[in-house]
Amino acid sequence: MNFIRHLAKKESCRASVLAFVFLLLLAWPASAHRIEKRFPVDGRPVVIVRNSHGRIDVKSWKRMEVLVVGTHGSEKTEVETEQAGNRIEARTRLNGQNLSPAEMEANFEITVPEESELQVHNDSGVIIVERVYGDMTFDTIAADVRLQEVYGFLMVKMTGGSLFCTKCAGRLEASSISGNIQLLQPQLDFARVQSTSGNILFDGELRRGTYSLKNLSGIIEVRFSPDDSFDLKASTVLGSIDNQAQLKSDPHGSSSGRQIPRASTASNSFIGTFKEGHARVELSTYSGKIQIRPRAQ
Amino acid sequence: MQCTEFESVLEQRSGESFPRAAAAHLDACERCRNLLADFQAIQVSAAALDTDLPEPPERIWLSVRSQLLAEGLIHAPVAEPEGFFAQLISWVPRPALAGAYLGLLLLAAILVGVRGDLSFLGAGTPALDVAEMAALRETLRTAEKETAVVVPVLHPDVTSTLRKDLALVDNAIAMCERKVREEPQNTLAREYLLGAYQQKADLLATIADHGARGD
Repeated sequence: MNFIRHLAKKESCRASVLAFVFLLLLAWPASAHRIEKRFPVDGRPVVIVRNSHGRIDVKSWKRMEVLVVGTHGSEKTEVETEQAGNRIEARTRLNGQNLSPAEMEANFEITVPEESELQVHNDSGVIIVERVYGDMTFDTIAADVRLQEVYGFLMVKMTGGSLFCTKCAGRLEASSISGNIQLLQPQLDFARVQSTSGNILFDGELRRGTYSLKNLSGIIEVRFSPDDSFDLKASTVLGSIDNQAQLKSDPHGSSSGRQIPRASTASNSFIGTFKEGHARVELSTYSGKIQIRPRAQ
Repeated sequence: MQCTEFESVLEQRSGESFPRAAAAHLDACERCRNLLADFQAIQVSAAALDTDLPEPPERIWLSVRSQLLAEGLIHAPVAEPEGFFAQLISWVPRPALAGAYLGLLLLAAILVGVRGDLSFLGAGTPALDVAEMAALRETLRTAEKETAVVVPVLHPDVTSTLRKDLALVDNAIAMCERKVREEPQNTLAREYLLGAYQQKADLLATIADHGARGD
């Protein structure tokens, strides 16, 4: 019995060693194409990233230094970096044509001072930014953008990518053609959001600021709580409006607080005020659905 | 007939002579005569733009290209293109690429002229009429024709997204144009149509930009 146990232990140990070697071999090609650069800065840096395909992670720290770690899986891809004063650029260069998707991939892990400006372009993959304060622009084709606890003037332009914005503050302008846009617990003063066919979700306080959410088709959903205070205008050409907020007539205008079929424009509009109307909310869809619903407690 | 009625007749006319009531109004109204003259002048200028624009000499393109290279705005290709699309790109002369940009610039100019403010929301009622709609459609068609051939080899996710979204925007344009034709007074539908035109221009610019950058 002891012999069998001993043998099993020995076999298990051998398997572990083999697995470790196998993992090392797997990791080897990635580490073969890795760059790590540090750039000291003396003010708010402007970090510019230009990538074709992959994942870009941007986080912040307390140091006045930008750390760029780039990895790529092919010799046909190069990661270049450059510093000019407080401007730091990292970009991917594809060498040659007819590269496979794997050869195009490059990933970045970038750590920046908390107060930094970002300009990020990524054709496909994903961009993730956490706890960075400063103006930011994101430009993607198929890449998603995930922002968490960021503050500043945020401009997000996507073709097919989606935006997930959690606890974003400041001003936001976001557009996508087929992607979805989610604003969760936003603390924005201004948001202008549009998607052609994607869904738009706003789930947060509506006590200040101006919000314009617009799509052609798809669902626009706004969740409100009893403590919120907003003026609402919802319009559609061919779609539907499902409003569950008790609106009163708009004290800031002359419209009545109920659905008004507007024969003159052949569109349907819904105008009214919830509580004092501190925030301003404009929702518009061509043929989609607008849903204004109380937030589940 | 009133001036506003004449304007709608003018918008819907496609080359044929005016109906009797409109012709009578035109004889009597100097303002509408001026309007017609303006329209005709625009048509003539547009036609001249399309046909009489001289092809710039090759040295101009070489000069522009070297300047852009010097400024780091474009990069010299690292390797000879091998793929089908890449060969197409190399075959396409630079003026064609510039033509795509020109088309988009024209579209932007028209949109600015039409609307003043390109913001998707919050703008006033856009004064887009049938003639302007047709002009925008034509500009986009030309730009698309010149842009399609410069699509380079990209990541498959990117290529499929661009194709899918271009079809989506085309569909949106068709849907909005139909609605605007059915209900010319529907301001929201017009606003959506303008937004869709602008999106298509943006999308073509994105495609052209990738072609120009060669990345």
